[in-house]
Amino acid sequence: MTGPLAGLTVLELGQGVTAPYCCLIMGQLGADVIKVEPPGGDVARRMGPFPGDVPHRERSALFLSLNRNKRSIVIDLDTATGQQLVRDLARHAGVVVEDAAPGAMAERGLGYESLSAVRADVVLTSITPFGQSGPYRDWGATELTLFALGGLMNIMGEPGRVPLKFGGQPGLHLAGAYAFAATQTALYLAEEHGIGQHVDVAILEGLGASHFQDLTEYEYTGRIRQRADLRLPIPARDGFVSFSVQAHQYGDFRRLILGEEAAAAIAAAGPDDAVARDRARLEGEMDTQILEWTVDRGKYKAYFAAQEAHVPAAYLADMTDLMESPQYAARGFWVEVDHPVAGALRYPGLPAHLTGLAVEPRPAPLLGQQTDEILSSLTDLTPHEIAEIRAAGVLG
Amino acid sequence: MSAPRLPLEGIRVLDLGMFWAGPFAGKWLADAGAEVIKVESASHPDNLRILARGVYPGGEAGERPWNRSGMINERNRNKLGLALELGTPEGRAIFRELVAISDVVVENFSNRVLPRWELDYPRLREINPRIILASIYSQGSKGPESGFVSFGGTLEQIGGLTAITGYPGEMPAVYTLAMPDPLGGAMGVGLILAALRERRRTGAGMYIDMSQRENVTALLGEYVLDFQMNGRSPEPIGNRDRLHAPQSAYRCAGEDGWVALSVRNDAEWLALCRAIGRPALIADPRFATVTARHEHHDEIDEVILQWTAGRTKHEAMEELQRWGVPAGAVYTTEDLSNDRHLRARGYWEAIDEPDAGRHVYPGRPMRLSATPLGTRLPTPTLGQHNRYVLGTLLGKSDGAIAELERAGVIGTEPTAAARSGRL
Repeated sequence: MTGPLAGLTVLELGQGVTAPYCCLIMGQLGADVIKVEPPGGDVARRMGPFPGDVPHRERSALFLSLNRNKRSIVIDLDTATGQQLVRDLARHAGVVVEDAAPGAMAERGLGYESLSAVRADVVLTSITPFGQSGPYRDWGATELTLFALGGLMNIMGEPGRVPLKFGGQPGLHLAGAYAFAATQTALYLAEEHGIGQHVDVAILEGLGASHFQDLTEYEYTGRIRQRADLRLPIPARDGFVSFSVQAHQYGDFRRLILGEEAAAAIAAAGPDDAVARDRARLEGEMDTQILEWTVDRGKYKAYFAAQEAHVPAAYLADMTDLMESPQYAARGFWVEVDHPVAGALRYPGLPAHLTGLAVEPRPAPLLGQQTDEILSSLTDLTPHEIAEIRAAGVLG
Repeated sequence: MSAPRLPLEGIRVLDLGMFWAGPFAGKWLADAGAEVIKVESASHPDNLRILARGVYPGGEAGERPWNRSGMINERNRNKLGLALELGTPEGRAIFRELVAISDVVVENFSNRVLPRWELDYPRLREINPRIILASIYSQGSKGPESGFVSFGGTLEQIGGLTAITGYPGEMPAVYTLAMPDPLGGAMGVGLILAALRERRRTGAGMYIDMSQRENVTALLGEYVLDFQMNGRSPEPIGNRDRLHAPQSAYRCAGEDGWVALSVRNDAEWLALCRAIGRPALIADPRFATVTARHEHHDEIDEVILQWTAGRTKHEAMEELQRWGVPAGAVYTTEDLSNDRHLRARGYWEAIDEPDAGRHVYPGRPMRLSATPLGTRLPTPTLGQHNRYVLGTLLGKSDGAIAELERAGVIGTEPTAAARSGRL
């Protein structure tokens, strides 16, 4: 079992989506991720969805999906003993990832000053909505409010109606991916030159950096991008498809839908005119011939045939499509993992193949599953001392 | 050896990226101190040099529009520019010489391009066994759909994000925020750096074969499991949330003014009731628990709307936040550019571009305490560093470089075909 992060210990002091997603990626690359959970566990254990909608801390879909390839230890960070335990563990950790409100870790003696005192080259990555400084630093935020502030909602939805956000929590996951890249950037320096540092990841700043094209358009031209008329996909028998035809691809598109002969006749009538007409037909969306073509084939076959004919196309993939995708099957994207309580389920794997990567997929840990194992291997505590700490309620 | 000023000093990267995802990865590595050579050509400059959507300073394309596009200038700072024809044997020979002295190659072409140039991973590894090749593909190197073209917007659809997005109960719509691009770029960066770590141990390079589509689906883990556990295929729920209630965007005073807010728990519900001057609602059993608030969400929306309608989005956000309610104004790009928090954080960076002048650009998703990042170089003009790369790095004589220029193997201006958009 090996991966490029083998031998790296990561201490995760995070809950919900951002820090757990960041550390999930590192775990899939072979790092030993120690997830420090509060008594009661990561909030994601209570967020579900659950099988049959019956809450159970080991059956939350959000938690299970974000915490594979990690070990769990429960430590109450509001106790002096718990704080000391984390500092003891941090001695072994090249990376610590946390998502507490700015200053909250420092109050517990777990800020950068304290952690770098026990390990000089530690990389501490802090993920917060607004960063460690600035006037909004203590503001609350969610996926929705950050999408709004990031300028992304303003361009989603129909003009005159309420602006929209993407479904799910892609913004928070994106922040986790940024935190992963930022952590690796700092870790490279730490491992090459022994220089540790504090990495400040602000979710809002990540969303701003993702929105660069519209920000730059405003800066260069003063134009403000607004919501545009809804672009509706084209119905197929079993769902929807869409085409993103560029000017030079209209000939291919016409041949695809109308056949060689009709396409040639249109082209002969004058190429520019034909392109304009095709565009109007596509934007009309309900053009009978296009509709017949997509309905006849169904979404996946229509997408496939169009792409084979070099016409950029997509289909609106739902869960069934994703789970049954021939492409995902060919890549082995879905990873089946058996969890002692939740059972065997298929999870999204790492979205990349790496030469030589052979990290065995492991299920998300039960709450505190490895508390004893971690304390006895990484601290000097005797079994008796561990029992005492547990009796004091520090270990949940 | 003195302490480095930047994390990745000493790493050399050949950035073949076009459009967004590849150049985004290259820019991150360049910001962090790597020497990143952006490899384009006169016949195939980065598409964003040409497809600029009219984003030129003051809307004026100028004499050298390919150096004036805001689209190119944001994404390629801190890089060196080489314009080298990889379609010619001479161009590929030079590229192979560069591979021999580089650490990383990053690209986001279709999976056909590098094999066609005989520059795929097995060939690169023969030249330099320590090389890391990161291919940020649409759907990976293999499989029935691996050759299909995609953009950020199509990836959102085939990756599963579009199906859960939209107004509830309506026909789905296609949105193109191109979020898969920065996501693919960031994942690429993290994986490249992990590969460099592995190389320190093994001495061997690595092939990173990424699928941007998988990158999108990987964000949907909870839905994937819910589907298996409960057979539920998620439908769009607009701006509402499975857990938080109330949550939505509410109309404010002012043109197209909206404020988004979320109530995550009872404490924030109390805060909201006080913030909007309706403390009596705290005792109202219709809203006492999160379950009840979900049931009566429409009624709560009405109450909130009465309050927001009398305030601008900025006023509403500031007031809600003062009471401890998570809220954010629905910002336009102008609002974001003027935001007081980002300004106080020094987020925006002003840079002088040779052909585009001085402009302000968004900063980065990370701040590093020991090695602060900044812009050292503006985006290179096309082929700006041909001489440095060929002369200083590869030791070619002035005469040899002039000969390559005459033969059109290197250049500084797009070909006529490229200028007309045939890329």
